Amino acid sequence: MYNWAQIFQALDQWVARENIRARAEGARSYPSCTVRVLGQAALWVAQLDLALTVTQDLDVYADYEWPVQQELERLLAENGKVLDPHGREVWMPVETRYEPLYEGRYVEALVADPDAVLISKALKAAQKNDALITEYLAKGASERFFDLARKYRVDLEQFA
Amino acid sequence: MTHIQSDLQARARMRLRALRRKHRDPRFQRVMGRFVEDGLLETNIEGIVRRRQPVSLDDALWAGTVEPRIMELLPAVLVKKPRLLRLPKELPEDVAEVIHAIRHGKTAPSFRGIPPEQYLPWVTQVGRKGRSPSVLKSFRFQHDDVLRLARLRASLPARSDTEVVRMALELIEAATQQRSSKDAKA
Repeated sequence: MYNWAQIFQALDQWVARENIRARAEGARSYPSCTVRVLGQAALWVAQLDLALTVTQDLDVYADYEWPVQQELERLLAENGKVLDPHGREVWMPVETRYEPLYEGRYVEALVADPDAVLISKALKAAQKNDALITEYLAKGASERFFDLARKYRVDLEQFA
Repeated sequence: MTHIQSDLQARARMRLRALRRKHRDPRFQRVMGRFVEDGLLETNIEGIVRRRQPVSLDDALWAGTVEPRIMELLPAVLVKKPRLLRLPKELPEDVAEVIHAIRHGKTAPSFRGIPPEQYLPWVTQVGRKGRSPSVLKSFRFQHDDVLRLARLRASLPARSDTEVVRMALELIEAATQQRSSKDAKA
């Protein structure tokens, strides 16, 4: 799996270059932005002992401007990846914790915690993630996972 | 761990053993190896060896029941990268139906439990990126619009009227997205 931190570093460097150019030309520069990595990519980053199969797409929540998103799409494409256009529609529990993945001058990348990602998958795409949740339960899911499942009324019986 | 949780874990373990057997099945390994080789999927499942030889459609349909992401990619692979697969002389009816729907821009059916909104996005991502099969659409333009198209085609320059329309659509979409992200911030 690709090193996501490198992609966000490249994005940060691009924004920095664009902002230098914008200042020289008296134009408006891009503000700092935060990108939150969700989905399978977040699980991969967490290096859990789970069998993962991932497609080329990356789900994120982000507050960047359109040109910054376009540059991220270009960087992803260079690495055979694609930004999921529906990433911002992904449901995540409010309890989701985001760990730092990359911290640059203009771009901060965070990654969602595995329990929150797995609850999101169990609730919103149970069939597609059936094997993944079964394996997590079999290997001893965390108390936090069970707490979240209770709160969001996830029927864990379907995975056992 | 509560009694309910440990009971759930015990049953999940049994289910996991059955799943592991499917992961070791040569059909699954062949299909996964081919999809990984082509960059369509990445996996950390043990024993998957990249392979360049095409895999049979039957194997792919079976592997798709083990890993739904394979099934999700299959319609796009059938249309954009059929060389990944060994196709039988006669395609299963639902496979022929989904290929026809994608190629002709018809209403796409669900494919073996995968709704079209999940598999259609891959049609533009698999193979030549950003390209989906073109679909014939007809519009009635005023004379002024036709002249505008011709002027734009010459000045841009664009290879065809379709390309002018495509560029205009991309610009409108970019402007709309910029506006909606500003609105969201406000």
